[in-house]
Amino acid sequence: MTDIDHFSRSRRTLLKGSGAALASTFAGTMGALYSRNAEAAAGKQLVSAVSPYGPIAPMSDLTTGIPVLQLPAGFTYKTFGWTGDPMIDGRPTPSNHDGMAVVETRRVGRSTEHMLVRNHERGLAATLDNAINAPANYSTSLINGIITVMHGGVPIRIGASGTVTNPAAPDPTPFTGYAGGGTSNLVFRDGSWFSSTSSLGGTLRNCAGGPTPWGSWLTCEETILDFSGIGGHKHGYVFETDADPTQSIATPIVGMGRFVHEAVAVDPATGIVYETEDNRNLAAFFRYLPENTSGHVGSLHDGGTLQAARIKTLIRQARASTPAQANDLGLLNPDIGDEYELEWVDIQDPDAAPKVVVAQPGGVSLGFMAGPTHAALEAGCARMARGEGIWYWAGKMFIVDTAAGLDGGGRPGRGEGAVWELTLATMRLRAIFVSGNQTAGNNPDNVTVSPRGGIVLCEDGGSSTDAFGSGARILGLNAAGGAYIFAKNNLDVSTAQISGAGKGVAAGNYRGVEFAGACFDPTGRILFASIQTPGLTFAISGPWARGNL
Amino acid sequence: MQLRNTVAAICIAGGALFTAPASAVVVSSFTAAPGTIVTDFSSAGLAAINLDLTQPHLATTISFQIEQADLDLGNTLSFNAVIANLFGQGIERFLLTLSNATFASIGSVETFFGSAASVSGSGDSAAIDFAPPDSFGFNIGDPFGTGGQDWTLNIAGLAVGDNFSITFAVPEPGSLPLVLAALLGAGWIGTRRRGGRN
Repeated sequence: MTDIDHFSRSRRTLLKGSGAALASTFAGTMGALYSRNAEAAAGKQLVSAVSPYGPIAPMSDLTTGIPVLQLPAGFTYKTFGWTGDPMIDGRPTPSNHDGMAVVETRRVGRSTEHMLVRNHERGLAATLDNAINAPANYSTSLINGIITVMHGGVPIRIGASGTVTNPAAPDPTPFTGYAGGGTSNLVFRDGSWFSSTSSLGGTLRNCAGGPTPWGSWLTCEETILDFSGIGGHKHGYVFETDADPTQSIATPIVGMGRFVHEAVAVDPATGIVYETEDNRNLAAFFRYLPENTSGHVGSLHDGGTLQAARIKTLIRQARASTPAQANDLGLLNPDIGDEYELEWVDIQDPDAAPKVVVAQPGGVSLGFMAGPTHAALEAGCARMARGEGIWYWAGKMFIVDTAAGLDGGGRPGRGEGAVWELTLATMRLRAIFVSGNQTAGNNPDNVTVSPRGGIVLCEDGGSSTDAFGSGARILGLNAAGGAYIFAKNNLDVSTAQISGAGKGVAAGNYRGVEFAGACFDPTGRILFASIQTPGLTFAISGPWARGNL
Repeated sequence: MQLRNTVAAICIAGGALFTAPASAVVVSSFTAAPGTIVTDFSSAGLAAINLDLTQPHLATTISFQIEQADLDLGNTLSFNAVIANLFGQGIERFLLTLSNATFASIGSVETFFGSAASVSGSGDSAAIDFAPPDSFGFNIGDPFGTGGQDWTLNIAGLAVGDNFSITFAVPEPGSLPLVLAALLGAGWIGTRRRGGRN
């Protein structure tokens, strides 16, 4: 081969490559145009946006060697805090990992420590020892029995096996056990997991919550079960866990309302706490104006005013309606760009008892609506489908409704989910992302915003099938609100792998299990998150500046 | 007094410096990209810093002033550092160049998120290569006493009040040869100046 031949062949290869690249770019552009046209017609995102971080692939955990996640090239991760791992208080790590945040970062000598609080969305534990035994515990007595509520003179019985509305039917299985939910605190020091310990116990279904500017975590009970008549306590409250577990408060913040809490976020400028509710189509959007705005552990317990959001003005809505119609149904099935101006309505009794309701939107024939929510909707406030994560960033709240949209039967509040952006200065609420199918977004749940302003969503809709296989995903939103795939659950683990890693969880395919608790450290170097079952937490690091996260 | 003013001016221009009163080797000044934070943990016989880098490809030069307590321990100083990568891009190579001192020994480098570090160097300069590129940060030497090995610096010929400096640089991949040449040149000039003073 002569030099000229070599040059010519290289040149031909180069030209051929360029042609392929051009063709690919053209096809990609046309594809994107087609998709955007389709999305404009649908009002929802239909295909995944291109990730600025590139495609993902299975990657081994630096701690166990198990390929737990699929990630973009250049990113690595380490797992810690698996269910059953021993904690420094001698207790095993509780199961059902959920909402989480870095509540405090501090320098200790030359070390940098991140203090995280993690929820455990647990129901009843068989024994008190199986519950979370923390320095602060809300309910520690045995719960045993069936809850009966009356509706129109007819008893409705609620037990561990479900709800029985037919008076002639047998009783459901009774509730038996101890309130098994709560929180654990974790310390991540100098790039490695350091320790964990129990920090709050005796609560129920601690789904998500939110960090406070004063270094604590507000943990939310996603239930309104009242066990006070069968040996336990009323549930459906917000509690406060401190970075120092001994300072956690097991007394509920009653003023923040008793409803099916999901998550909260604090506006640091005003101290107002915004609250979401996850009770399909029986939910409102709340906020709490504390009397004491000094901002310290316990200050929210000093009382305040609970308010619910009501749509005051229609700014832009794809489907024309009146304000009353928008409040009843507008948030259940938005299009991208729908925008409303909100006002706030006082809720007189934040601790009001739940109501039985029937014939609600989206095919909810009978349900239990929280007392404050009932008061809110009676006052014409906005109905949400399933309020989930909420996160404050730069004067805005980013709010996820995991079920916004329509199902195959056209029922509102049973779709694939949406993200709302609430601008606090104007009280404008705008839909920045609405999923049109499971590929674009499969019921996003927890949300966080990176220090660079990038939005991260944790899916909770089961496995999504896409170019990278099947599994739940962590999505990023680009500047235009387009969702792209950042990570994927790849956990299909054998007994031998678990044994080799020294873990005690069951073998199985967990790829469809939800991600939860996504949060960044303040420097933006680490994204923490969990896989709820079998229960593990991980820290991802990599070239974040390559994209917008 | 003039030195204090110089340090204050550099802090405004270059970032932030946290240091303790001098009873041993101490950071006397530094030049760096805006936002860079240098925290001095030096003590007798040990030059030790935490360096938070907020921008890549802009070198940070830190000057250390020798005190009597250091010279009482001999002609070498131990050296370690905690480097935080806060700019979110992978570091392929990290360069250290000395002025008025040389490396007596090259110690360990510890990474945290899977990058393997290989270290080379002698005389005035050393290089740490990462594969894959490191996006989190790393420890030079053994800042936490966890089994690593501190680097050592030869300060023979320096007297109380003399300064030596370390330049930390993340070269752009395409400009690596140029940066290497520049740093080697800087080291050569420093050596000639020190030789001239001695």
